[in-house]
Amino acid sequence: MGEIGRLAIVLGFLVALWGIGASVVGGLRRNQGLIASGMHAAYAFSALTGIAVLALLQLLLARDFNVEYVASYSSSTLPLQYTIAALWGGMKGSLLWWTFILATFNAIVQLQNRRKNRDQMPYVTATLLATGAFFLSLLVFVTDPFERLPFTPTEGSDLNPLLQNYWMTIHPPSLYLGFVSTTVPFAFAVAALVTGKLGDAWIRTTRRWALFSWFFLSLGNLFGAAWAYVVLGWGGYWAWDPVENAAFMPWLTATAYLHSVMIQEKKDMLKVWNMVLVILTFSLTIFGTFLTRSGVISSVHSFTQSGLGPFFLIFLGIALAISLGLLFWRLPLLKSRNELESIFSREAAFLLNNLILVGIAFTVFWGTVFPVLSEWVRGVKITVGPPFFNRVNAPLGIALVFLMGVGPVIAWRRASWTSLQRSFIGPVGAGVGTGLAALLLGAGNFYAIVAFSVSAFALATVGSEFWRGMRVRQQMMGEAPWTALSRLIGKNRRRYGGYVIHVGVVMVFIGIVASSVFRIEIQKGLTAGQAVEVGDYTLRFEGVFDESDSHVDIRKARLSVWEDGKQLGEVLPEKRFYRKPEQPTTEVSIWSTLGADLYVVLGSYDTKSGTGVFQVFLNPMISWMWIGGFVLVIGTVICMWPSYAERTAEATSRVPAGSRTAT
Amino acid sequence: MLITLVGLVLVVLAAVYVAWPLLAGTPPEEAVEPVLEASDLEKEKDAALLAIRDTDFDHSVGKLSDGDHAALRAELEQRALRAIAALDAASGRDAAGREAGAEPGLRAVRGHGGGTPEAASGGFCPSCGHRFGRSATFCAGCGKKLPSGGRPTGRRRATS
Repeated sequence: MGEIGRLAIVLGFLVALWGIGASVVGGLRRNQGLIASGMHAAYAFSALTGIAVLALLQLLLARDFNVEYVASYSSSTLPLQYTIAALWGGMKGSLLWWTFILATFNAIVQLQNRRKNRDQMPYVTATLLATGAFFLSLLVFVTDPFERLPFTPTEGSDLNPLLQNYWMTIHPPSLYLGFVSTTVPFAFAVAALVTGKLGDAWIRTTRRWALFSWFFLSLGNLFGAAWAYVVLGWGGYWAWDPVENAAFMPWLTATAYLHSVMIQEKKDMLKVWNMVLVILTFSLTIFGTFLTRSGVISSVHSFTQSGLGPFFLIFLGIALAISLGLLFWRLPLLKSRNELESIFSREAAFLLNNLILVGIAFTVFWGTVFPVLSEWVRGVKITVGPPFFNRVNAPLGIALVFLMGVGPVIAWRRASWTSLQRSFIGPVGAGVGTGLAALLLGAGNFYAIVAFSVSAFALATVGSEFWRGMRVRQQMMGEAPWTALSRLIGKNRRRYGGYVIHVGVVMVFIGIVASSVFRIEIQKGLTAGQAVEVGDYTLRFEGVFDESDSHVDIRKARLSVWEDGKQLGEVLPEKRFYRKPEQPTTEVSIWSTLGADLYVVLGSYDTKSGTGVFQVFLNPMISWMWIGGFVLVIGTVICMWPSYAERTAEATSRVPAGSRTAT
Repeated sequence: MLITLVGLVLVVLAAVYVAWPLLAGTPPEEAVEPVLEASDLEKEKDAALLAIRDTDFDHSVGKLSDGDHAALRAELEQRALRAIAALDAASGRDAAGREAGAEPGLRAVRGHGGGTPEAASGGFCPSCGHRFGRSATFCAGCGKKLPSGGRPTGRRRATS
């Protein structure tokens, strides 16, 4: 199977090279045969990478330890789901997995556009295949995932225990989906620049892809935070680690793009800016991969370091040079005749939102690369810690949430002072009220109070948007409340889905603020029967018991959770000793409610004295983050659901011929 | 042996599949669905009509004052009408064809703004009282289907 896999990636690489050449030459000479051959190359590319993935999966499942990758990332006792996850657990596998996802997206794009965008498609195909070919070239020439060892070890060295967690089976795939799918809008942007068809067609074609990519970037980040929270055992979920930043930066620019593109659609403005955002988002995903693969920067998430860094930098350089060169060449075509009508308008709020998002992205970028730069320039590695990121980004984050509240209420184009006053009275009241309540309840932290009141303000404006829209429909059409609400959303899914997403994001924001500002941390040694108080909770240590199987030995501590003299339940933090590699890990146990998480870590247990040392964290409102994630999913589904017009447009022709002149 | 065979088959399959469009000659042009790259005029018209819709909605939920709404709307209607007129001039259609119903957007504008003879010849919406043109199917004010019913219009409407 290894030979077939190896053959598939070599063939895939050659096919991709052919496809790039055929597409570009075919596109320039308008040679239909060559263009079609390029399209076939795209399909063949996805089939071949698919065969390679299957081959590697088969080797993993067959536990063929003669293959270096299988021996390094699995063992005969590794459970099935983690054996499958080992496919992306190591660097070679994850590069192959990445290429496979890209190839699949390429095939989907070909299918979607087999009768559309024919002029642009050759360049879309070429861009997608070029990115795919780059990734495959690493596997073909530098690190072969099907490499065989000169001997066959009797046992593999197993997947890193930190990766043996259910979040690990879903976090990387969703992040990959998000990362890789940014290539599709990028490819269409390049094609639009090459062909000079810079109107709204490429934006309409990639609208869903951009949202898809944003969605999986959001989920990937949230899942990653959940993984860090559950697995790393330090009580938090985000530490401004370079790899976390790598996943966060494209999310920021993608968010900015989703907003600014609406201004291009409505006002035909910001065309260059949108191009830059699409190029930037794609580049940041490649940069993020460089960060995780290069070993330039140390990270808790980096499980795969290698000497591949320079290759990624070269590819990034080429991609940036070509796309920015094309952009510069087409600048005269991208001029806009329109301008903002008023600073008091939703457009202006969007513009400000873009500036803040890109500002945060720049801060994060700067903080991430600063250690490397300082080492280059002055020979001293100066690391930039969480305090820097928090200090700069906290006010920016608050400003962003504030704009989230302002944007929906302010009218498009131009808002007058009186109508603003009327719209803002309720939400501002809610914000001030929440701030006062937080103050009275003893929240002494200035940032937290501002953050809570701004969040309440934003939630109130979104609520009032739904309420007022519903009321208008009720009055005008005499609809029942629920009918009015569902039709209001149905008539403008993007707007109201967007509002629902805002609710989710604000919930995540509240969770982040509360859990980072009001965290309580206690470390205490307990013998059986002793108790410790954490906030309103009391934890009583009941004792330890052991479990074991062929893969791992587990020691569990049992603690009962009490509040106001009533027992709520129990938590079971663990210490695990994996047989291979011989490595102890800590499994935290969490008692989770809407108000707070009781996060218990078994630090150590001394058998002689019967003393367990526990680290206990009280993390307020962390579950708001995960619930916010669900809300975000619902909002995205509302946005992506095809509208009535689109569904009928699929069935019939979009536009009567002749009434529009294709330019 | 088997592996070699499978490998050979894979190589041949990939090569033949990729080269097929060249070997089989130029394929017949498939029916191409035009993804319409709207001309500048069309974009201008769509943007103006969309802006009118947004403005009306903003007004109805109280984000725009009556005065601002009236002023903005008048300005946007002018923009839409100018764009439509320019489009018609460009495509060489005569005014009569347009009035006969080629431009529902225009009718929506006039139906709502009121006052044109064409609009007057339609009627008033039984749900909300808006005036509508004689060939209108749906009320431009509230979106309800109109009782008399014109002919269905299948044009792409700007969606946001």
